[in-house]
Amino acid sequence: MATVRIHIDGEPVDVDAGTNLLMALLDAGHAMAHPCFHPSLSAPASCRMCLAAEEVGDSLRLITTCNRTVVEGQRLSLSHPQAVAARSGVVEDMLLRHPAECAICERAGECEVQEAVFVHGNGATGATLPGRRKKVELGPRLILDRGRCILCTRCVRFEAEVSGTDALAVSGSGADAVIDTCGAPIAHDMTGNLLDLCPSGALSEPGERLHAPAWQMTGISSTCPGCASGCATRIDVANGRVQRVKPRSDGADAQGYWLCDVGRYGWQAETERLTTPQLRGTAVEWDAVFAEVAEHMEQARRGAILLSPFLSNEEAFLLGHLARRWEADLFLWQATDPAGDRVWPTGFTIRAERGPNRAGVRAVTQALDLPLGDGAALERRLGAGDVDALFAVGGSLHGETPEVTVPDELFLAVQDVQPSTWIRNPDAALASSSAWTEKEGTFVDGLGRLQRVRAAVEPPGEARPDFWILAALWHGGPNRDSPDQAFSRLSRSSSSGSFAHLDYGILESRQRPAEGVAFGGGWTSQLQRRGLIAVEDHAKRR
Amino acid sequence: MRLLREIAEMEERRILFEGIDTPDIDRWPVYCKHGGGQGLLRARSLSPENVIKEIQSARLRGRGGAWRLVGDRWQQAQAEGGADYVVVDLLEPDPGRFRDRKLAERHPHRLLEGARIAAHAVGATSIFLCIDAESLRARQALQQAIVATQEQATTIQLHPARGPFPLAAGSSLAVELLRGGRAEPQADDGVAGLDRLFAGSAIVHSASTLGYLPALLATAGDVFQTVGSEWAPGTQAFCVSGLVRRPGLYEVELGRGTVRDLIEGIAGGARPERAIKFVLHAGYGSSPVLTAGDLDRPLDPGLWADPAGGPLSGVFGGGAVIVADDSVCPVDTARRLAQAYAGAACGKCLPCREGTAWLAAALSRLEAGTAQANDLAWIIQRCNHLTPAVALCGHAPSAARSIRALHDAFPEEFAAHLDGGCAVAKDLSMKVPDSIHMRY
Ligand code: SF4
Ligand code: SF4
Ligand code: SF4
Ligand code: FES
Repeated sequence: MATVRIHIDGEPVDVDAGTNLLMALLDAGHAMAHPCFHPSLSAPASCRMCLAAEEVGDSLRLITTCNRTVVEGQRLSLSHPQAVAARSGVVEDMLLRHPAECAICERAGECEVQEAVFVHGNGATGATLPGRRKKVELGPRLILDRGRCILCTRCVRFEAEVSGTDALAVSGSGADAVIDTCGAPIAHDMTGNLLDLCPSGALSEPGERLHAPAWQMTGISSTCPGCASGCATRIDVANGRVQRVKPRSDGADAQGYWLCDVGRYGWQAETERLTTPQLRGTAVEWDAVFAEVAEHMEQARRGAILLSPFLSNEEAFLLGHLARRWEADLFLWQATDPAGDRVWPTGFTIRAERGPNRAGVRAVTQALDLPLGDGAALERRLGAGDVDALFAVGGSLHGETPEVTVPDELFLAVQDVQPSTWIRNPDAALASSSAWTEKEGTFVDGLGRLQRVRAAVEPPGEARPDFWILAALWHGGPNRDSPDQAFSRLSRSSSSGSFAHLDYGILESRQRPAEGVAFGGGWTSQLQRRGLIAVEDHAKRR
Repeated sequence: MRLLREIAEMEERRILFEGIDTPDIDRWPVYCKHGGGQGLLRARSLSPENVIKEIQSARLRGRGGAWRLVGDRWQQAQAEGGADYVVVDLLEPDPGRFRDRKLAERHPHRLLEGARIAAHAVGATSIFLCIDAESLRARQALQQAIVATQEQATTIQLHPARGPFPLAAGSSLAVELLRGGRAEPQADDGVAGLDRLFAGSAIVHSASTLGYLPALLATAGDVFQTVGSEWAPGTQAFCVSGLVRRPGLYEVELGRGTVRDLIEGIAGGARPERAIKFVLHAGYGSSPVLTAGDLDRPLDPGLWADPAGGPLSGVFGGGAVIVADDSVCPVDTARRLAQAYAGAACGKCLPCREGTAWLAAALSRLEAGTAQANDLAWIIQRCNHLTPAVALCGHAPSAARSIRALHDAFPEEFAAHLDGGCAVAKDLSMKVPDSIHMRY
């Protein structure tokens, strides 16, 4: 691609032709607040914050940078007194009616308004105006505080351009202009993104004020298990609890800056958990369960293992080895949304394939050279009485059940997150970890991308991570085997395919994890990662 | 009798409003009988290139306030492959300006003929008239004229839009309204060329500009040969309002007289026992402020800093002249202007949305004598900040400019308000002009 050379404060910078000028400045490491600009939305250039002085011949003129593309030989000055004064003046304008309530604001610490004041403000305004005081509910998960709204219209543009619902609009004119719904409350499966793209604390969700403040959260990079799209997520944890899930825009790994509401809020719905291992309905110690399962599976002559698309590759790898040891056949059930793929106007897709790692589980069995049947094949075998012991893994995040009928007489062990309602009462129940926030390992998504999943918190009570359970079954008791080691073994056993020549170190370096920073979501967290929004000050307070 | 002598000194010279007093000139047969339609006929007998050449040599300039050469704009449009639409901007939200509306109400066929000539020149097949929905009489007159002259070659459509409309917002405001958007201009993105509209491109003209085309084409440019100044041939219709004896719409030759001739001559000067204190002169809002001493400035845009870079400071503007006499307090005027600007701001861009509202509030305090000590300093500081690059369109800068200009002309009166005092004995009575110049 052709490059053009521009000069920023005298420094020559080479950028690809056609690059957005503001993005070129940000990429070159210049802090420039841009409350109305979002890289995935159109640019109205309405906040007038991103002003730079452009040299035209002998004279200077101020231009907004967010709605222009780079021009060969362009000479820009960000530090010219005129540009500095103009930006600080716009900051003052922004604060004329803005409430001074950072102390109680949900967005404090990850707010682009704070950031603008921080980088461009001169701290000297004496002018104020009474602000608006009105909170309105825009939808079941969305509250708008009009006092904090800076009318950047990112939310309006999101509803028009990304969700395609045109659900929000500016109503009124001049200083009376406000954001409003067009009658109906906002209810689609992308609403959470509005929280991330709002540069101020104007949009919040009910109860958000009860979260820990941003600077007390630790971000854990993971991959959404909500469907086979494999969106990049960051799980924000404070006080040992998950506070929220945010999109993590690592470039190619994510569906842009967005995350659907399934992936964002799904973990909250998982309330009823299996918290103890059980034998025939009675809570027991783990050792007893391991002994019972190992005995039955080893003795079985026609054993079967039902794999779940919610398993990680490492877990599937251990189960593959157990299948060899127990001489059991492998089957994989499938979770699909009957409504099919849901595609948004910009291409954002929630896949019908709900299992995040069906592709990965298949690839693992291939790497181990083990035949793999589907749910229907298992059903046929069960119907023919051709199975005498079944080890089944559930873990569905959406309540789907594998469609198999298990006769009473055969031994059934079930490893699941919730009390299994999908199958007859098991002989042995292994309380395991949820894929939402408690799984460590890797997934292969519907596009064949291999990505890391990370545990942000521990499973509740006596429940244990799937990997821990399977490793205990394999090694004959609790041990120090880790997903990391299992992955390396998996990688060595495949000469080609998704896993060859890889280890976690290589994966990490590809994924550029967030390194514990939990600020912002979507584009904001990108800026923080680039060091363009200062997080150090807050981070020190941890 | 004094009055008559003064009027004789500066005469009206009608080109744009020529024939406006003819009864029923808004009817097609009457318009035709008085020579209407000849300009279009002749234009269509020429190639677009020749029409453009003729307008270029006549040096017609846009009357909206920017005074750009119409012929050159057309030539550029042609270089870009022509425009698909001609958009006629009839919004005219500027305080004290009512020229385009009167042209539409009284002389609709002249406007339509001019628009069709422009369409022929740039190769457009559709014409949109973008008009304030509240201009009911103008809408009605235009609609009748459209129905009377609808033809296959160029379709004309009236597009009424709801205000308030920002002032000096540029051509993109009308285009955005036609797209069905809010009354908001588009930001300059540094890409030169015509405005994009639907799947094509549009050229936007103010109604008065187009109103000159029929006469120019009918006479092959002759009407501009002897009329007007060298920089800006032709006439300008000034909307004189405020505290003068004969407010009205006066079309006079450019470069002939001075502001004083216009106000004290044709418009009759100050009311008895009153003296002219200042004049808000322009069409872009109201700047600069001319005090009694500045009234001898010639009415030739070529001599003013804006648009022509001439020696006289300030903006020549689009023909709105608001006269204030010594019963007017400039702080009160500034407050009214600020409130008008705040009320007409579209709210799209942050500095104007917040800044004009703050200016209106601060000036209200100042005028009421309840200002805080540094309010005045902040008012000036905010005005200086609202430059054309900082705001998205020309609305906020013209607000800032006119408030600033009032302050600079009367700094003592502004300062006096900080102590709660207004020295001006305000005359709040209903003002009845001596006569009204035009019958409507
Ligand atoms: S609610 Fe947030 S995103 Fe929407 S206009 Fe206001 S500040 Fe911008
Ligand atoms: S689209 Fe799929 S992977 Fe992406 S956030 Fe939604 S559920 Fe998760
Ligand atoms: S300056 Fe900004 S807010 Fe004001 S009218 Fe223009 S675009 Fe609208
Ligand atoms: S970011 Fe450029 S104007 Fe808002």
